[in-house]
Amino acid sequence: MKPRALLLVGSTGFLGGLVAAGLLAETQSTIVAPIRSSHTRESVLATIREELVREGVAQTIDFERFVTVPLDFAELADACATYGVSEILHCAGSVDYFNSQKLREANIDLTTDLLGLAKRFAMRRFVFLSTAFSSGYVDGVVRERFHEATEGDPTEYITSKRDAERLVATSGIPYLIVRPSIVIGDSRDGRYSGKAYGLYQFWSAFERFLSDRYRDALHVIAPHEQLQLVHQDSFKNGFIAACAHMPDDTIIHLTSRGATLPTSREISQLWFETIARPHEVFYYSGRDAVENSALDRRMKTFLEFTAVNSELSAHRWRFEDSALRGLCERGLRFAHTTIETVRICQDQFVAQSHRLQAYLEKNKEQFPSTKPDVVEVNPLIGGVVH
Amino acid sequence: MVSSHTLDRVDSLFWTLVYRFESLAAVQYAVAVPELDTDAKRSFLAALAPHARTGADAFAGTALGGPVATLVASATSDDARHVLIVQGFLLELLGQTLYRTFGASAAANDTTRALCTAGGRAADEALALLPGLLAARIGAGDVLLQTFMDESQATLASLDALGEGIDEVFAERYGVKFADLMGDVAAEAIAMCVELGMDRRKFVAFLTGALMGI
Repeated sequence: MKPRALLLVGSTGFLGGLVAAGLLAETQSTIVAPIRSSHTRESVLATIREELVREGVAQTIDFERFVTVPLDFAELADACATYGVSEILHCAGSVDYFNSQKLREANIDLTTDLLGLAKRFAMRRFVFLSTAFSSGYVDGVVRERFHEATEGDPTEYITSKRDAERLVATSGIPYLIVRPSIVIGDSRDGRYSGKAYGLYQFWSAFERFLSDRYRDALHVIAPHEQLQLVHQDSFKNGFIAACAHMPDDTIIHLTSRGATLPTSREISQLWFETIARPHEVFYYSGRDAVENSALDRRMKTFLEFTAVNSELSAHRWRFEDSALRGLCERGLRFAHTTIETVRICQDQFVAQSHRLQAYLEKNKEQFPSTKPDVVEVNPLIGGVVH
Repeated sequence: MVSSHTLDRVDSLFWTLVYRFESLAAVQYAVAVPELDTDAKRSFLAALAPHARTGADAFAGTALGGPVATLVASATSDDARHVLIVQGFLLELLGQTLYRTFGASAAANDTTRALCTAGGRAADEALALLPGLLAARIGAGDVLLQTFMDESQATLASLDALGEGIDEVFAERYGVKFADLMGDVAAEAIAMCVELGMDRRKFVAFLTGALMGI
């Protein structure tokens, strides 16, 4: 990319922070980053700098190119004029599944306001960070094009992202829409700077509710469907490459290749065989299939707190990856998720958890020498031991 | 009547913690939701007062001070909707769980057991009044859910931060950890929200995010 000024919205968040690090490392652009009063330039930059240190490039970066301004539209307009901002990269938003008000404010109203700013300054392009799941539940392959509204979206978050995509596409401003799937840690060392979303919610829920003592039997919902995960380094490289090479008015999925992607069941088994180490694992088809009376209260809480994501993962998600393959042919480094790279992330998560370290140490005498028995629970036919 | 058995430091810390929230509730109920300012609540608070420490150093030497202050700040409001959701619903449910769990513990002395009985009775009474008050003042279904999310997010996040201090001070004595208590509170809250016409799945997703710091 040529030197220019970009307005990066959402740099204080997980994915926006990765984009900021990628832009600093791969471009000479000035990055104008609006931040709320609860943040400072130093606090935002600390996380970005850490990412660049881990990549071994921090010493070569001119951090003066990262400029923060208050998140206020009058100030943003001044900054756009002052720095000659030519593009907006919109990586902010709410990931609340069902908080309609927050979703409207963060995903719809903010996008509308930023599009207004882009129009006012006749910007060259608007880049919007969406989600691979913006289609909602559809049969077959999810295409790199706009989705029509569907009945029964799994969450209101998905609806709001699809609605925001449409705002971007019909704005008249050249656009690029980037749709990552569920972002997990770095494929090389497992580092992760996000919150406990997705897979991390499963691991965190175990850490919080089930690491208090050893349990002979554990109960979980983990379908035999591939879990669409993308590593944070792949996300970052893919996003920056898409900005550099994708033509205007296009959509790209940043998703891992289906051929190597593990299933929810394989990822659960990895956890149970290497960390939790019960003698038995009971797998259920859904939350309704769980007979609550047999479970202790922590087990019930664990199931409650992982239920919505388990339900989402039961759908067969398949994504078109034409645009990504095109970027890979141009040299993009994109590590596709495999069970081995998930294990790297899992190991890093466990290594950073005092509770899990204590669990492993305290209970090692009770761990079985073999893999846990698997019991498939189907409420219609009863449990079957494999 | 509550006996005046001498409380040791752990019990004293427990009742000091409870007093912070029960006294805040009393003030807020009187101002914003007088229906919840019941005789049982006033009588419990009067019985509790002699066993609680007040002052800035009440939690000195523990990990409770900062998180309690943050939680009190998040729960403080004279807006009736906030008081109903945060004090009337969330903190009453937490109180009810605490009184039931600690009161049933073999480690509880007579004073603690008697206070837990009185506190539990007052919480039960408040929670029985709550559905009618929520329906009348806020509504039901999605309207109530949106209000619940708006009003309770900060308090739920603060509750999460209290866990470490609770475990450090009380887990050994009472044999129960904060995750157990929150599991019970979550189960009760989910059941209650479904009764109030909220979508179970939406409520669980919100609770998960709020309690797990998402």
